Amino acid sequence: MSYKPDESTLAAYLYGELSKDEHAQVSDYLATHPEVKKELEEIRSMQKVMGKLQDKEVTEPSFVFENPEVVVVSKPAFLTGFMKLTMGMAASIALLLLVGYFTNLSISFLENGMQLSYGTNEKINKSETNNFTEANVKAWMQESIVANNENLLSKINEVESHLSHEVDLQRVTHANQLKSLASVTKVDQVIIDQYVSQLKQENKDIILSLVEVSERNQQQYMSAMIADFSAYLDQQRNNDLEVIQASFNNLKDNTEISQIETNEILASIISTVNGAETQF
Amino acid sequence: MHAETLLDIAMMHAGSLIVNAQKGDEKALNQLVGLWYKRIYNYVLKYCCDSDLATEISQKTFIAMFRNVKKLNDIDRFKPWLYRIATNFCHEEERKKKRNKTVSLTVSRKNEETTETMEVGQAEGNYFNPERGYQQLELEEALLSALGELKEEQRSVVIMKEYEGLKFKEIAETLDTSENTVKTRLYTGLRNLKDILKRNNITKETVYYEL
Repeated sequence: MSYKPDESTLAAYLYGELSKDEHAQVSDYLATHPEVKKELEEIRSMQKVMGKLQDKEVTEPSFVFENPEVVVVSKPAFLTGFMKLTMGMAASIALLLLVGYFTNLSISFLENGMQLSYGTNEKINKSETNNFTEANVKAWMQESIVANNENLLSKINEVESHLSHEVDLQRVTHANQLKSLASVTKVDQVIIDQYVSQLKQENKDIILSLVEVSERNQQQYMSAMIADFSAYLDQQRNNDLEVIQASFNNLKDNTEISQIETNEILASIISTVNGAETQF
Repeated sequence: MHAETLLDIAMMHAGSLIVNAQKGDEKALNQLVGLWYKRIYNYVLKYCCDSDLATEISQKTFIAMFRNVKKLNDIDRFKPWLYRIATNFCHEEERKKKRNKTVSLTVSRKNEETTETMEVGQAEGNYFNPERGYQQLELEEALLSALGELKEEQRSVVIMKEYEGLKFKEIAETLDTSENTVKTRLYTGLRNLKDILKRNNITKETVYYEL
C-alpha cells in the first residue's frame, strides 16, 4: 500500500510505455485511488480535445537553398553586431592614421610612455615629468593654498570696501531725501494757509452775494405783493360800489312800483265812491 | 512516430538522404527540407502561436541545418537534433517577447480572412460562450492559446509528445535532459493544460456536442 507512482511513471502509463509489471502496479494503485484515476481520465479526455488541433498545411519556403555556401553568403558575416563593431573600430583607426599622414603624425616611445602627436613634435622633458616627489608635491600644494588664500583675502577686502562705499552712498542719499522732505512740509504749510484764506474769502464772497440776491428778490416780491394788494383793494371797492348802486336801483324801482300801485288803488277807491253816490 | 503517411515512412528511412546531405548533395538537402518542413513548421507554430513567426523560425532552422548537418555524427539522431535547433530558436523568440512585453495584448488571427483581432482573455475567458458553437478555427485558436499559457519547458515537451510523437528518449535528447525529467514535465504540463481547458470551458462534451 506504500507504493505511489510518481508523475513520470504516470506519464509513461498514459502513453502505454511501462513494462507489464509496472503497468499492473499502477493499475492496482488507481483502483484504490479514485482521485488519481479521475485525473488521468480527465487528461485522456483533454488529449482527445487537443487532438482537434490539426497540422497546418504549409508550402515549403519560397527561397531555394542551392548549397550551404549560398546560404552563408545570403547572410553576410559583416551584418552581425560584432563584425560591425570591429569594422567600425578598424575604420576609425585607419582614418586616424590617414589624418596623421597629412598632419605629420609622430609616434614615439619614451621612457615614460608612448607619445602620439600631430604637427610639430616636442619631446617631453623627462626632468619636467619626473620631479613628482612627495616634498615637491607638498610644496606645490602649500604654494597653491597660500596663493589661494591670498587671492581669497584680497577678494574679501575688495568686496568689503565696495560694500562700505555702497553703504555710505546710500546714507547720503537718504539724508538728502529727508531734507527735501522737511522743506516740502514747510512749503506745504504756507500753501495750506493760502488755500484756507482763499477758501475763507471765497466763502465770504459767496455768502455776500447770496444775501444780496436774496434781499433783492425779497424786495421784488414784497413790492409785487403790495401792488397786488392795492389792486385787490381797488377791485374790492369797485365791486362794493357796484353792489350799492345796484341796491339803490332796486330800491328806486320798488318805490316807483309802490307809487304806481298806490295810485291805482286810490283811483279805484275814488271810482267806487263816485258810483255809490249815484245809486242813491 | 507512427507511420500514417508516405511522408512518415520516408522520414523514417531518410538515413541515406542525410548521408548524402552531409556530403554536400544539394538535391538531398532540398529533399530533407521537403520531408521535414511541415513537421518543424507545425511544431514551431504550436510553440509560439504566430504563423509569421513560425515561418521565420522554420526557415532559420533549415538554414542552420544546411550549415551544420556535416557536424552531425550519428545520423540516427537527426530528428532530435533538428527539433533541438527549432526549440532553441523558439526559446530565443520567447525571451525577446518577454523583454518586449509591452508590445501587444492582442493576438491577430492571421489565418482568418477577416482582420479582426480579439483579446487573449476574451478567447479564454467568460465572454467565450461554447454554446454559440465552435468553428473548427475558433477551437484551434483556443487550443493554441491554451498551449501558450503553459510554461515553456512543459509546452515543448507536450507538443513533442502529443503532436510530434517523439519518444521520451528523443525528447530528452532534444532538450538535453533526462528521460525522467521529460516525463515529469509532460505529466505536469498535461495536468495544467487540462486545468486551463476546464477553466475556459473547453471540454470533451462541449467540443463534441458542437462539432
